[in-house]
Amino acid sequence: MKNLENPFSVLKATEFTNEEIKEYWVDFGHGKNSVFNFLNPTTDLPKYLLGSKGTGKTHILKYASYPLQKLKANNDFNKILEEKYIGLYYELYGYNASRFKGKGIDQDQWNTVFEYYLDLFLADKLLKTYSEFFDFFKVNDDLLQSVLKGINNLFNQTESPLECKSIKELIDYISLLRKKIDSEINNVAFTRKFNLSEIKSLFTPGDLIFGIPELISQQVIQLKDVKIIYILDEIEKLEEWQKVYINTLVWDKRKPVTFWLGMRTWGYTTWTTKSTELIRDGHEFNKIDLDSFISNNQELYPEFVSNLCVNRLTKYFSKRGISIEAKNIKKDFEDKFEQYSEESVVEYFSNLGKRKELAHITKLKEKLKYVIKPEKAINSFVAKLIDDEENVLFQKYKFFKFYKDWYNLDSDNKRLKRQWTLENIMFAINDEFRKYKTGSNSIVFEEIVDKRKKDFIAQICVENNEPARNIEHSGIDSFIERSQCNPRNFLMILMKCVEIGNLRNEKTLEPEGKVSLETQYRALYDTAEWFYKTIEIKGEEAKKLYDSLQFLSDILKLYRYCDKPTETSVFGFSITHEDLSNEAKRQIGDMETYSIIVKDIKGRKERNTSREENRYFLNKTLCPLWGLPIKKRGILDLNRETANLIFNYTLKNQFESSYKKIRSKLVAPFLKEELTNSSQNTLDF
Amino acid sequence: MAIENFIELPLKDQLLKKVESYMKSIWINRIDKNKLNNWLNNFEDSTIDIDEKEKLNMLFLLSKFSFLGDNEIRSLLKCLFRDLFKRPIIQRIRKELGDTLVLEDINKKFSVEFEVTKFVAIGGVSESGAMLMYPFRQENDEISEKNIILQSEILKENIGGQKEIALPSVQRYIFIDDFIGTGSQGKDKLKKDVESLKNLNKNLELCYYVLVATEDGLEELNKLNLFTSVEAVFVLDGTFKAFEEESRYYKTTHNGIDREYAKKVAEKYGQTLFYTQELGFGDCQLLLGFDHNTPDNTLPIFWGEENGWKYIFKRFIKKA
Repeated sequence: MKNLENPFSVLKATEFTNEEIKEYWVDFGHGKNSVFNFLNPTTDLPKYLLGSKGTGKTHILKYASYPLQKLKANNDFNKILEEKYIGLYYELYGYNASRFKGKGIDQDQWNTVFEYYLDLFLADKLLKTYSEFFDFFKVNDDLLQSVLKGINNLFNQTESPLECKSIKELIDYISLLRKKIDSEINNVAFTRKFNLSEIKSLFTPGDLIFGIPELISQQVIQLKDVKIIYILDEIEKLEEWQKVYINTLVWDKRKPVTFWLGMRTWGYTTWTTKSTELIRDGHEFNKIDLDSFISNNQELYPEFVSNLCVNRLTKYFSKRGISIEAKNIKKDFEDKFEQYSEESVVEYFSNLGKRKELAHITKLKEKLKYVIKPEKAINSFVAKLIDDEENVLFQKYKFFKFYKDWYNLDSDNKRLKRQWTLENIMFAINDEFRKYKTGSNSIVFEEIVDKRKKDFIAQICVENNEPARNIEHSGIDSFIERSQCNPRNFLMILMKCVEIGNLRNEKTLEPEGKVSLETQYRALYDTAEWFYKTIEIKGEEAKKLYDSLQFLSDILKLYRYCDKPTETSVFGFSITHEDLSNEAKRQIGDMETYSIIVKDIKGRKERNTSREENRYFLNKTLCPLWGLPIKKRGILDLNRETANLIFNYTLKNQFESSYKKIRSKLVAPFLKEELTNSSQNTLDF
Repeated sequence: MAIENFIELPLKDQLLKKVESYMKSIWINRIDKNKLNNWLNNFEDSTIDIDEKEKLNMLFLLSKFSFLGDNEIRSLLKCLFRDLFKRPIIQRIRKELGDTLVLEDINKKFSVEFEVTKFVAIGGVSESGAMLMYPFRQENDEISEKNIILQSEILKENIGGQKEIALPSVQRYIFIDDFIGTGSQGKDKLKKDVESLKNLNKNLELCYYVLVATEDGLEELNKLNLFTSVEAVFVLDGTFKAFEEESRYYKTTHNGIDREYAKKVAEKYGQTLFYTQELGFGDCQLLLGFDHNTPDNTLPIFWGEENGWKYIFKRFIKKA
């Protein structure tokens, strides 16, 4: 067992040893909520376990596999068999499936070689595993010879009958056959032709992997009715035609064999079999979507990931000879996280405002140059609008109202003649705000405060180049929410907290340690960046996806950081699917598959037409990259034009002009001329 | 991939991220979080604001530090042999043979030249020159042990106590070292031996090649007319001086990063670390370190150890 300096640093089950898989195992829930309740190994129906990266597929599948069965049973094979199954885990990454193509060889030949090789690949571990059971149960030689005879007969006997006298001999023989194929594949690029005598199929596809368990189940009493589960992980690494063969095996499976297939959600791409029959969810297999399962059981997710965290910490401390009760570990750890407070942020910037001019004031002065002449009048105008108000947030409320009223002025008049109007607005705002401050009824400002407070705090932080102060929500519970039902995202945030905290000398895991808000912000930002950079999409599709994500985040950021926000705390959008082009629909589908956006299961009716609308939210893990909120309040209604510009890559060149049009309505001085001013960087605020 | 629309991280975090990535790669096993924190904690002034500004500015300098690890040094050693030594000789040979492209002829002549060449490790057996010879030989297949000698093996005394050339057949000596700062150290180490060699055989070719050198240091040594040539694989021009107006490190402006201010901080602490040479020997103001040592021309805030100062890059000082 590794003695980790950072208890959260292992983020992939593939990096764990079998002992660690067992030690770090945490079930999603108990009883009916256990993962193994729906992945029930005693049922015959194959399972397709789908999930985005980091949902824990490999950990689950490995936990169900034979090496773990042995560990859990302390090598007591009788105990293993009480589970009535043996799980044979295969990681298809190591199988190197991509080598079965090209090199001047006809695809039909590759198909045959792949099928043959896969059967040998599966049979190898199958025989090695059975062999351990035979040894444990001291299976007598007569029985063994009978089994071997049966297996020998599974091979084509026409030319030279196979006469393996022991399981080891059989395993060696299969290994030799694999080596011959390996050699042929490695050299075929030069020979451009397979040597048939080396690669000739000696059995019918499926005969070994189904035939051997069938035979042994019938002949070896201890293994009667013991299911063999071929657990094939990382199916997404296979080519489409290879997946078709796997589907065919699933279709053709014979008792006591069944399959569990683990794959990324985006890797689930075909239901076809070689006979062109389609396998169907609920009939030939059960699809288990981990993302949906976790989202549908969101009330269980916080406890599940908390347990993951406590489990890691318990191991960390016990390896250092420190024994702490689990409930104390949790509490001690939670207490280390500095709590975010809006009041502190406002106080900090209000004090800063006494020493220097804050960005929102400078920005307003700049914008007023378009409408107030001479320029020297601007300072006194802004001073009057501020009206000695020192609270930076109150200033922002007033400025917002000012921007809003400015926008509403009749745009037909020449702007330079409007000074008197702006002055009237300014005085009216001051009168109204005094009412609010003195507790008199000011519906206008009460509404502004209710709807805009969080957005304006975010704006203050970002405008003054201190985005880290706007963490908005801190501590473990907020990390759970930000992880968007993905355990790896959650562990990554914790790993970063410890790593960055240590660099900042916060001694995170020591008794006096803490995790400052700065560290928490960095951990969230770094996790977001990691998530962004490791989206598993390649080539042209990747370009399209990243373009759409940039456009979407540009729009969401604009609505949060503009002068005159019209929506409250947006990080989601609603669209009517009928309005979308096919390309835009496909793109939204892709973004959902890769967990960039998350669909809100509760759709809604469009206000005017009552058409069904779909609501999507940006994955909360990504939100820190653009300083977006994570609590659902407002939602952006994307009209047909904007939605298609964001999600349809064929229209990407038109996005910028459309963005400028939207921006000109949200950002002072609300100039339509800006649309033609190509030199201005309109993506700045 | 479009990443330009991200909210920008605060500068301190951007710098820490950069430093962390170095710690995981080129500085691995060299600098850990404790060393980094201890070093940053050297910069503690009486007021919190100033303390933070000092730390930020020093962190900025650290993020610009050039550290040449084993891999980088090996690459430079390859370049030294290929670009400074072999290529000019090949060019001359080709010219002499009427711009020939016949490899066999060129190789034949080059072998003759190579046969009369010795690569000399400057200084004693435990000094940087000698330490470089092992990887120098490993990285350049053509060189064998017989092509390398120590500086102390160039001359010998005859029975009458007079100096004479130990290997009279040698026509070319290539003195190898890691670094030239002001040039004074090279001069001190080599002047006597090189002058003796020249007196004994005025036709000798005497070259001084290093991995890295300052432009000023090279000029200083070339002015002496001691060597046939003095060259470096990588030359540090004036822009590598941390606090000069043309400093390459301050080309982009960052909020809170101030060249003049950083210079004052480096001077303030440097005074207690390297008396009268607060910005490094010869006022070189370098941000440079090697796997095997840190030159004293580098800012002392990085390597100093006086008065409880915690260094971040170790400088091994030669014991007398």
